[in-house]
Amino acid sequence: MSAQLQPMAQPRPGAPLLALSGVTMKISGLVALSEVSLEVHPGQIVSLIGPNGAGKTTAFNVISGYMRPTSGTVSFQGEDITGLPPEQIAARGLVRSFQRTSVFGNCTVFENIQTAFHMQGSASLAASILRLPSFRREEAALRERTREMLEFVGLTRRADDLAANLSYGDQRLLGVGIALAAQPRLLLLDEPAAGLNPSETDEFKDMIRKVADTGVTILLVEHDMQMVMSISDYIVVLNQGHRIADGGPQAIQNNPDVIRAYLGSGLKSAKA
Amino acid sequence: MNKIVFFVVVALLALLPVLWPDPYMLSVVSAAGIMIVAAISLNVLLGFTGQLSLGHAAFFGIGAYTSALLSLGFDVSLFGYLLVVDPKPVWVAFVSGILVAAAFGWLIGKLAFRVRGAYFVIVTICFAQVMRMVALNWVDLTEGPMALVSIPALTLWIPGEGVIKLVSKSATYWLVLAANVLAYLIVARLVLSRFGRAAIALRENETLAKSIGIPVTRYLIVFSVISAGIAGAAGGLYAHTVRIIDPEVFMFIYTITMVIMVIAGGKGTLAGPVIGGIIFGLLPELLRGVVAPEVQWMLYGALMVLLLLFMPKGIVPTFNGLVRRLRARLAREKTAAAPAKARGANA
Repeated sequence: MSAQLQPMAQPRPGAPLLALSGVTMKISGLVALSEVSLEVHPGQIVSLIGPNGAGKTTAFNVISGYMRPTSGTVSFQGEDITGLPPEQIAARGLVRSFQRTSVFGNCTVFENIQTAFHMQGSASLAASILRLPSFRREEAALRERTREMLEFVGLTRRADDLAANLSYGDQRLLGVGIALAAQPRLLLLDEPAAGLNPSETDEFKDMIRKVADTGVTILLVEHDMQMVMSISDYIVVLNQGHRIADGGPQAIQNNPDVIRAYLGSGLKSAKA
Repeated sequence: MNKIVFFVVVALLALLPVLWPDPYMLSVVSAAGIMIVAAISLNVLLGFTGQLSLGHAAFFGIGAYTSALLSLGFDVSLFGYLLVVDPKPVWVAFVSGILVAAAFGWLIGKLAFRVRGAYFVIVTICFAQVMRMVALNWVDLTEGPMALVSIPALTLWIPGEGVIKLVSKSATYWLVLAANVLAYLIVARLVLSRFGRAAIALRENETLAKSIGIPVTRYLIVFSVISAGIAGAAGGLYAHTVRIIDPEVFMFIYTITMVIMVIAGGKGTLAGPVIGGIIFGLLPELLRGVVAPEVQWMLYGALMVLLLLFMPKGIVPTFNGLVRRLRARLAREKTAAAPAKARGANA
């Protein structure tokens, strides 16, 4: 019956960028994810929502290689990446950010971004120690790209400050800059708006749109329903490890299963 | 700016034997200098990757023993075969010492792939103890507690003079100074590169480092190898300047001395181990004539406690912080003064 009510979800042509099929994750007896399948198509902003303990962060950990699923497969750009270590998954263009602020605290903002361009460099140990021309050229190029990235996330003025001294909101922006410097095709953002004030949240929303406009596909875990509903192309709802619904923002807001799982309050405020 | 300071400091230090040719002073400074090279090597691992090796004396000792044995030549029976090694040229022996120490560094780095933090510390302590036991008990090879004696000095070819042995106090001093400069430059260039950034990323936030595609274990191994290699060089330098070594080179106290130098000076800074090394390497000798030995150790301990209380990050970072705050205040005063001036002009 809900099928008639739901407007058509975003068209999903072609092969998915990311696909989970039948992913189950048991953590010491507890089933955190149960037979979860989902697809993320290129160019979309997809949100993963659900009440606390629904398994959203677990799903992120499985996708980005920090946890190995009990069963099921994760594939990225058609390649099975299940069980690969995080750094190899990142090298394939699937980069995540973290729930809590995650920066290199004792390094300057500039150094943070420069470090994150790691995969863009290739100077050998010998070239680095001997300061060969190839090393100098690469370092200059990386510094230039670092400046561009700082411009993009709006932290140019804070370049020489220690990351630990930034405000919470700026640390979040830096976190995005770090993830973007790793040149993702798919960016996973884990609760980016948590703990941000409303104006910071708005700024962050603009940032996500700006990132999406550069051609990066985004998968988002978020509790702020207003944010989710306003920027998502497609939403997947998890509850107690099961996928209970998926569709466009309108369809999700009207889905009775979702309303039941969510106590309604979040959705009421989202509609308001 | 920094380059000029570095050059001036090195030039002044190089002039020391000319300005103050006191053999006692020179030998004291040289001994401290060897420990500074060792401290620089420990800082590579402790300061930049954040892994505490409490067995660093092992790499020092391995470098010393390898270099000494190869330059003296040795024979040892292994599984019923007699292995005879003729004495090698002293520089060949020295470089071999570095390579063998680096190889053990690779092994320890590989181990750190599995164990981190406290477990890594324990592994390294055990490693140094095992090495000491080997040096003590494999008398066939190492002469055990009887020590390896008459180790040849390093040589240098000088135009017009031919090959000379570096045995004089000044020559030893310059040799140690050269080793320090070289070690410092290698570490500085290593740290200010993609390799250094990757290692610091591992120290600061390993989870985040992995998420941006840094294979942290690979960099841990690179740093472990370089750290062990430099420690091996310090050991070789010790063997060929003191010219007698016994299993005591593996003692825990040497590792502790390196750790104190690095922590007091400021771990994770380039100048830290040098500054810490100068203070804690020379202090015992400076106090020797002034106070009784018991008091000496008490002062040593008290200084350490005071340093950690008031400069928990070490001398160099505290100093840098002071400079940064001063600069920030100057900048603020400047920007505060500018609008005031503008207002003044309007009025």
